Amino acid sequence: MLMSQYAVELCTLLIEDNFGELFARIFTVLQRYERLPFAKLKFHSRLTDRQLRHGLTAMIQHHLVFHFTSLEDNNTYYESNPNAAYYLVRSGKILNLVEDRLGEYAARIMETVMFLGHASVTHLETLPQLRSLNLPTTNGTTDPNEETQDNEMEVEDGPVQTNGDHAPEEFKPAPLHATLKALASHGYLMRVRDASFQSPADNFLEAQRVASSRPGNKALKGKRQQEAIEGDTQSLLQERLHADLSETLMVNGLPRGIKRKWANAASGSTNEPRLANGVNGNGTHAGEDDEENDWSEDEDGFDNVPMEAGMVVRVNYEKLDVALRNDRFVSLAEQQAPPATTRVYESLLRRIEYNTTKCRDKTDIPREGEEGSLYSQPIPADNLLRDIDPHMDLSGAFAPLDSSSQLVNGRGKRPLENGINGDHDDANEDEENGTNRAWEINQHLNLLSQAPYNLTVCVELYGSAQWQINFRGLARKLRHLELERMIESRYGDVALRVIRVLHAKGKLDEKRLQEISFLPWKDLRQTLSSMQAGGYVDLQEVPKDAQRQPSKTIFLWYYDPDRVVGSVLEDTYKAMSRTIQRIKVERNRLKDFLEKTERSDVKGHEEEYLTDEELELLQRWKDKEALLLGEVARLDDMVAVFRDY
Amino acid sequence: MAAAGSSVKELASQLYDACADQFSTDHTFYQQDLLSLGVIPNDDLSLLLECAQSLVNQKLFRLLEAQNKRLVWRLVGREDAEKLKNLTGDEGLVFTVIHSSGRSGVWVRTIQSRTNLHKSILDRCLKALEGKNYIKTVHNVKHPTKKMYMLAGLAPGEDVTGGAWFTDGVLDAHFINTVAGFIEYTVSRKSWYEVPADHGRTAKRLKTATGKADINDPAEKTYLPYPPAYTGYPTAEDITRAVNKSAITPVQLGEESIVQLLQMLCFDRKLVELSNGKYYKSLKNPALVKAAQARKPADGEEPQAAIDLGKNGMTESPCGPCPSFALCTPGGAISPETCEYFDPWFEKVLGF
Amino acid sequence: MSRFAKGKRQPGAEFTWDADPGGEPDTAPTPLYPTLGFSSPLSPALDLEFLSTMIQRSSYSTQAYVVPWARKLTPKDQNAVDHYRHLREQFQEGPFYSVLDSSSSSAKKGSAARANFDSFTGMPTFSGRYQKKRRTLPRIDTNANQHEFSLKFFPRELWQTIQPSYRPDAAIDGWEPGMATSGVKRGFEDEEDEGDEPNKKRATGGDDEEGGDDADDGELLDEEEGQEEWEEDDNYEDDEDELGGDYNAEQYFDGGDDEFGDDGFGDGGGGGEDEL
Repeated sequence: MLMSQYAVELCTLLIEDNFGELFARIFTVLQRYERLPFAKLKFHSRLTDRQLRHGLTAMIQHHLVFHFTSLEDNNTYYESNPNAAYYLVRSGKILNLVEDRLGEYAARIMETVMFLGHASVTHLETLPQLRSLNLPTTNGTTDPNEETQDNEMEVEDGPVQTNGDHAPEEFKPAPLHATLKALASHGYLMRVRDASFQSPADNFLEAQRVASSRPGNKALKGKRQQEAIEGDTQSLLQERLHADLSETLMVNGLPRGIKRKWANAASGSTNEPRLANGVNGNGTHAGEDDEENDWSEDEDGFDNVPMEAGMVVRVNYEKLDVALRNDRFVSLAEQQAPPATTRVYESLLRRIEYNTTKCRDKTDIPREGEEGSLYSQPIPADNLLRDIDPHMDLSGAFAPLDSSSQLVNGRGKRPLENGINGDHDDANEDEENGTNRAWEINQHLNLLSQAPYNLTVCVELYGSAQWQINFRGLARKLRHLELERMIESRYGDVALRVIRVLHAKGKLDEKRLQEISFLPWKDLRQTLSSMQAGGYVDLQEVPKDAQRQPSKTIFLWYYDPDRVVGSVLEDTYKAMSRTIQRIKVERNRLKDFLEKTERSDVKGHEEEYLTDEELELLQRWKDKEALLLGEVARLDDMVAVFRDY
Repeated sequence: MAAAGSSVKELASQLYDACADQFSTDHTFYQQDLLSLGVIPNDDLSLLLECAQSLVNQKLFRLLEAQNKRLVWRLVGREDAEKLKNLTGDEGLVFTVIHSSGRSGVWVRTIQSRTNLHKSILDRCLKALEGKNYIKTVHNVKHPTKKMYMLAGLAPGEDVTGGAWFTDGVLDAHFINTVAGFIEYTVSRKSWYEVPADHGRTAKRLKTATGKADINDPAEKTYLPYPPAYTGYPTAEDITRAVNKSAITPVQLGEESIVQLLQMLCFDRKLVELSNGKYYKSLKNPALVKAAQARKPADGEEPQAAIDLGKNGMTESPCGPCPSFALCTPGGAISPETCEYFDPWFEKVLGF
Repeated sequence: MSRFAKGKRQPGAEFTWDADPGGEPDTAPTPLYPTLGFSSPLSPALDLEFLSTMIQRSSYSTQAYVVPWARKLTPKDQNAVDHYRHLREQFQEGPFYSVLDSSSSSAKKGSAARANFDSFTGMPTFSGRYQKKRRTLPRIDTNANQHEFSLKFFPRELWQTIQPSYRPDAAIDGWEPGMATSGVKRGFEDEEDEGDEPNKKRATGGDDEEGGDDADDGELLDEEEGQEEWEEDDNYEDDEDELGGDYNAEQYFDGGDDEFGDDGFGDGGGGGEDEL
C-alpha cells in the first residue's frame, strides 16, 4: 500500500512505541520496498535470521505484516500492513467505546484480543485475566510473567488465589461466551480468515486469477468475459474475506448484551449507574432494574450456548470506525440541539450502527461533490421506544406550539408521574404513553432534520415516517467543521466568512466577493493573501488577451477543500509524529527517574519506595504524557474525519 | 419684428412650460412632439424653429442630433439653464456631459472623450465648475480608483454608492454591524421560546433539560427551541419592517439590502434559512446573542473562548500554528527535540 | 477593467510581510522559533492581551507564534489515554517487544547483546537486578506468551520458528490450529537445557522452573541473543539453534534428527540467505 512520507513515519513510531525497534525496522524496510521475500528482507534490514523469523512471526500474529506465497515461484513475499499499524493509535478510543457500551469486562476481552493480535475462543477461555469479572490483583497486569504464574496457580487452585478477601459472589465464572457474543454481534470482533493475512491487492489478484481460469468464463469473449470475471472476482473476494459475525449472532436484528445486562446480573447492583441509559439512569431503582434485566434477557436472546470453540477472532476496526463516527455525529447534535434531542439521536444512531458494517464502500477518499449519497437503513421511531430511558423527559425540551400547547404540556407531566410508580402498573396507560412517546421521538428527529442541524433524513415507508442518516453528507459536514476550525483559529472569523462564500459560490473575483461578504477592501485582501500563503485559497488568472497583462486579466479566488484536506491530513500525520517524538524527548529528560519507577521492586509499590517529591514528579510526568497522548488522539480524530469517515 | 421677437419669446416660454408639464425631463423631443403640444399656432414650422432656437439660446433647450440626422431637443431645468448662462462654452460642454450622466456620475476620461477637450482645458473647466459649486466628485464603489463627477445637487445613485451599506463609497462597517446585530437579536427572539419566569416547578425542571442555554448566566432566562411545526420564524419582509421601525437606521432600508445582509449572517452561521429561504432562524438564543455581542476580546478565562467552532487537534497542538512546521525534522535545526514551544504549552494547560 | 490600476499589482501584493507593522524586517535573521516575545512564562493577563491582538489582526502568515491553548483532557479523553497506556504497557512487557541493539546490525560478535548498555549503568549493581530489561528477540514459544500461534495463518517458511518439531515433509493436514497448543508442555522455557554448550553453563535452576521473573527473564534473553550472535556466521546452524533454543528437549530428541538430515527444504531460512 502506498502511503505518504508522514503517514509512514507515524506508523513506524506507533509500532516502535508499542512493540519496539525490531518491529519498526522490519516495518520500515517493508514499507520502503513494498514487497520482499525473506532473503531480500534480510539483506535490506540487516537483521539476523532469528530476529527476522521471530519478528515476522510476531508481526504476522499482530497483522502488521501480510504474507503471500506465490504459486508460481513458491516464494513467500512479505508486505507491511500500515492500516493495522495506524490503528494502534486508536486502541484507547476503541477500548473506551467498548467499555462505555458493553462494560469493563467486554473492554478487557477486547484489550486481550488486541494484545494477542487474534485468538481462538478456546484459547481465550484459558486466560486468567478473563476468568473473573473483577480485575486480577492490581499488580497482576504489570508483569506478564507474574501473571503467567498467577495463571497457572489459578488453574490449580481456582479463583480463590486472585480474589483473596473479596466477596464470594466472584466465584461466579465470568460470562466469557456471552460477552464474546455481545462483542461479535455488535461487530466489534470478527472472524479471522486465511485471506486476511494476505494484502488486499494479493487477495484481489488471486481471486481474479481463479475467476478467469473458470471454464465458464474462459468460453466467453471480449466485454462479456471481462464482466463475468469481474463479477466472479468480487463474489470470490466477498466469500473469502467475509468475517462478519454480527449477522448470525444478532437476535431480532439486535446485537446481544445491550445495556450490559449480564454485568448487572453477575455482580448485582454494585456497578455504577449506566451512562448509556441517559440522564436519569436505571441504576437508582434497584428493584426495577432487576425486573428489567429479566425482561430483557429473554427479549435479547441472552443464552448460554457457547461460542464456536475453534473460531479465531480479531478486532474489526472497520466496524469500530462506524461506531466512532456515530459518536462524532452525536457530538454534532450536542453542539446545538437540546440534550433530550441528542439522546434520541444517539439511540437512532445506535440502531443504525447495527446495520452498518463500514463507513464507506470505497477505500479512496471521496472527492468533494463526488461522494454520491449513501443512506443508512431507515429506522421507524417506534423501534427507538425501548432504547430510550423511559424516565427521560422528551416533551420538556420544546416550547409549546401555540395551537397544541395544551397537548404538549399535558404530555410533559405524565412521564414524570409515571416515573415514580414505575411503567408497568397500568397496561392501558402504558400503551398510550408509548404512542405519545413515539410521537415525541418523531418530533425530536424531525427537528434534527431541519436546518441548521440536517442530521436526519425522513422517508415515508409503509405509510409511516422512518428516519435515516445521509452518511456522506454528514461526513462532509464533519470535514468542513474541522477545516473551518483551523481557518477560524488561524485567520479569524473574517476568513471564515470568505471561505464559506467561496465554497458556496465557486470562483469569484474580488469585487463580487466583496459584495457578498460585506468586507472592507483592506480586510478582504489581507485575509485572502494570508490564506493564500497558507494554502487555503488559490488564485486563478484568466487573461483576456494573449499578452496576459495584469490589467487585462481576471483574477478569480477559489477554495478547493479536497486540496486543503490533502495537505492538512499530511500536516496532521506529521504533528502526530512530532508529538510522539516529543514524548520520547520528555521521557529522556526524566530517564533516570523513570527507570527507577519502573524497577520491578518499585513498580506497584510506589508509595513505599518513592519520596513525596518523587511521587509528585511521577504524577506530573503521567499528566504530561497523558496530555501529549491526548493531543495525539485528538489529531487522530481529525485523521478519522479526513480519511476514514 | 420687435413684437414678433417678444411674441416669439413668450411663445417659447409657453412652449417650454408645456414641454416641462407634459413630458418627463429626460424626454427627447422631435418636431412632432413640439407641434403636438398645440402651442405653436397653425403648426408654423418656421415659428417653431424660432422658438426652439430662442430656448436654446436661453440654455433652456439643448439641441441634439438623432441617429437619422434629424434635430431633436431636450429640456434643461431653469436652474441649470441659469447656471449654463454663466458658463463659457467649454464649461458649458463639460457641464452638459456631467448633467447628462444624472445620478450615476461620469468618469473624467469619459468627459474628455465626449467633449474632445484638451486635458488642461478640461481640468480648468472642472475646477471652475467645482468652484461655482455646480458639480462635485463622487466615489463609486465599483470603480474606487476612478475620478467621477456629478451635479452638485444630486444624490449618488445606489449603483454608485454600493447601496445602503456604503458611506462615501466605503463599506460602513459600523452601520452594518449595528444592523446585523439588531437583526440577529430580533430573529433570535422569534426563534426561541422564553420560559416564563413564574413557571415554578416546570421551569426549574426544564432548565436542567437545556443546560446549555444557561451556561452563561444561570440566574437568567431559560430558552427552549420551538417544535418542528412552528412557523413563527420571521421572513425577510418581517425583518425589513422591524429594522426600519427601529431607530438604528437614518434611512429606510430596502428589502433587497436587508436580504444581502441576511445572506451574510447566514454565511456567518448566525442565522439559517428555513423552508428554502422563506424564514430565518437564529442559531443562538437571545441571551447568548447578547452575551456574544457584548463580548470584548479580552473577556473570560480563556481568551480563545471567542472562537465559536471549538478546537481540534491542529488548532491546539503546538505544531498546528507553528510557523516553522514545514521545516521540522527529527535531528534538524527545527525538531521535536529542540522545539521551544512545548514547554510554554505544557505550562498553559498543566500549570507547570 | 483596471481594478488594480493603482500600481498594476496583483491583489494582495500590498500586504506582504514586509508591510506588516509587527513583523520583522526581511533583512533580520530568521529566528528558528519565532515568537511574539514571550516564550518564557508570563502572567496570564499579558498573554490575554497578546492573544486578543493576534486574533484581531488574524495575521497568521506573519512570523509570529502564539502558544495555543489546549483543552484539558476530559474524563473520556483521560480514560482513552489510560486504556492506550495500559495496552501499550502490556505490549512492552509482553513477549514481543524487542529493541535493536547497536551490535545486532553490525557483525560484532561475542559480546552480550545487552540493550541500553553503557559503561556506567552496564555494570551489575544491586539495584540493577530490578532494572527493567529489554529483550532483543521476540519470544515465540507458546508457553511464555499468552499468544497462540496457528500454523495455518503463517507462511510455511516460518512454521519451524513457531513449531520447532515441525517436519517439512509431514502432512500439512496434520497441523490443525488446535495442534499448535496441544503439544505444549509446562516449563519448557529452559532453552538452555537442550541448547548449545555455551548456554548450558549459564543456566540456573530458577530459570528453568517458571521462566523466572522479569529480571531473570531479561538475562536469559541476553544469553539467547548471545547465542544468536555466536551462531550468526553460520546460517546452517541457525536452524539448529532455533530448534534447540525454542523448544522442548523431548520433542527435540524425538524428531530432531530428521530435521537436521532434512535441511534441504527450499523455504527454509538458512539456505535462502546464503544465496543472497
